[in-house]
Amino acid sequence: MTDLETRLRESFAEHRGSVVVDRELLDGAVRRGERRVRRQRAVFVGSVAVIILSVFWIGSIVDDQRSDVDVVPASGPVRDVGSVDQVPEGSDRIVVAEPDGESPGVFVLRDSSDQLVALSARAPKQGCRLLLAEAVDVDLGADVVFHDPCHGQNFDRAGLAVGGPGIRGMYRYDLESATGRLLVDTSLTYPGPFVESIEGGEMSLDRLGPSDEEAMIWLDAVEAAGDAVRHDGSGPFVWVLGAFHDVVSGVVTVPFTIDGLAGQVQVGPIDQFPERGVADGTRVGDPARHDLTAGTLFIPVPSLAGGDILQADMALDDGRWLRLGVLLPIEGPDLGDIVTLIDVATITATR
Amino acid sequence: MRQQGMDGVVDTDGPAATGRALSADPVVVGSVALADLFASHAQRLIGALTVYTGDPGVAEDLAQEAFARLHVSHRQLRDPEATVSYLYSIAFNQARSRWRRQVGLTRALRRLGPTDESSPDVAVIVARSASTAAMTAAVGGLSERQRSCVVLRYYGDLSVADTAAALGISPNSVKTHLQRAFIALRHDLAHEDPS
Repeated sequence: MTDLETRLRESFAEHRGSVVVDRELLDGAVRRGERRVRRQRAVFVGSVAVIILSVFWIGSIVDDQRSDVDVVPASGPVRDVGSVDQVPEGSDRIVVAEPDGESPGVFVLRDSSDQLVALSARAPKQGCRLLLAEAVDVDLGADVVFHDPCHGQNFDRAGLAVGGPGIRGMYRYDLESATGRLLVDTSLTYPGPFVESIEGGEMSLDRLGPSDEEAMIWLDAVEAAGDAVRHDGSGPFVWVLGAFHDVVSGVVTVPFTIDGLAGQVQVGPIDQFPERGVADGTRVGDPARHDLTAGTLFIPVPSLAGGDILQADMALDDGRWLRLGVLLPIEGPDLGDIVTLIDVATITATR
Repeated sequence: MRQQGMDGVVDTDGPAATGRALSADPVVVGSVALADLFASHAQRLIGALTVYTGDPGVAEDLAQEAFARLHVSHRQLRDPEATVSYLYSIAFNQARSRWRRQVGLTRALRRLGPTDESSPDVAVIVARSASTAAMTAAVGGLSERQRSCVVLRYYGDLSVADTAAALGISPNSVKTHLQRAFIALRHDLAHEDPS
């Protein structure tokens, strides 16, 4: 055993001699570490702030019950966006409050049953700013009041999705109008109601857990579920199996099945796809694999950075379109960010 | 800031190469400055990870991650003496996670039908002599556990107890793994290198 130990030590010593250490490595490590320390601190400060705010919030509920007047239009999360007179009963006017600091823009209007509602101007999908339909040149239809320019999604007066591709409604806030002022509490955001799938269907997966153990468990669950998972049956069905972010190459791989056929999308820096160097999400790859429902789509992008939203649109052979969206972890490619999340997996019918 | 490179390879350039963050406020891990720890152990760690993963690029990234984590958690480190073993423990945990992840990805893709069968782990051997190349290749062929034990013990030069601590297993398991690794290595080397 001793001779082998000696040989191992000698070989490793020689190997070590050939290893070149780049001093930059430490600087990079320190930068990476500093970023995480800052993040930890931010989370800590954030938690404390949430606790303090909660105490105030509970306090304010108690106050409300004690005296039924004087809700103070504090600066901060509660925004005074105007007077009730601006949207009298039966009016179809919309009060628009611009974004203010942390608070996104707010729309206040009366819905079809004449109730005052406060809707967020932040689109429910990727957070693009919603436009008023009247500000859009194209005629979007009589029911449409709001428009999401990033997804082509339309919403009606009540903030419900109209037509495809999505089914999620607009975010909403609590509104207090007893004092004659329109006081919108933007500290709590309520998800909008879903509407039934209209054409095609939509599936979105929640963020995966941060650890690879969770991801593995999740993957196992996906495998177990297999093809037994069904949508509402009204349209084509996409099942995304997860997203894998290889931190070394920077390539994101998204395997999926559509109507039972398998494929995968790979998105990554251009130099990772040298032989397929076509940009702008053009469909590229082996001609034999143009049948995308069972192939691989390579999408080279100039670079990847944290918080990037990658979107791949693919024409399927039967004329439908498949859209996959991947959101990279905000903090950027890190060894800790093992599984990236899928934000959107939507399929729409061509019109 | 002067670097005391134990292996004499880390450059000892002036402030330009040292970086702002370090010269301003040296981070101390246990009783050792992070920069000194890097100077004395980075080369060994990267080499060990290279043999373990078979890929110098991955090894560098893993080593950097280990130092980054050490930087984050250095205040909570109770036992300064255990710093080196802790460093290896972070790095090899990451390496194992990566390996497991590759297994999961491969499995998921295989389930989806035919894909390129090219292995993600391309062995790149950085070595000077044939005997070292044969040895690192043979170590690369060991099972994951045996490989990590051999690399930590003989490349990282950790004691059996430290190896056990870094891998979270008992010293006796380390000894068993090493013994089996030796049998396998002897077998491999005898086949490939009759001399």
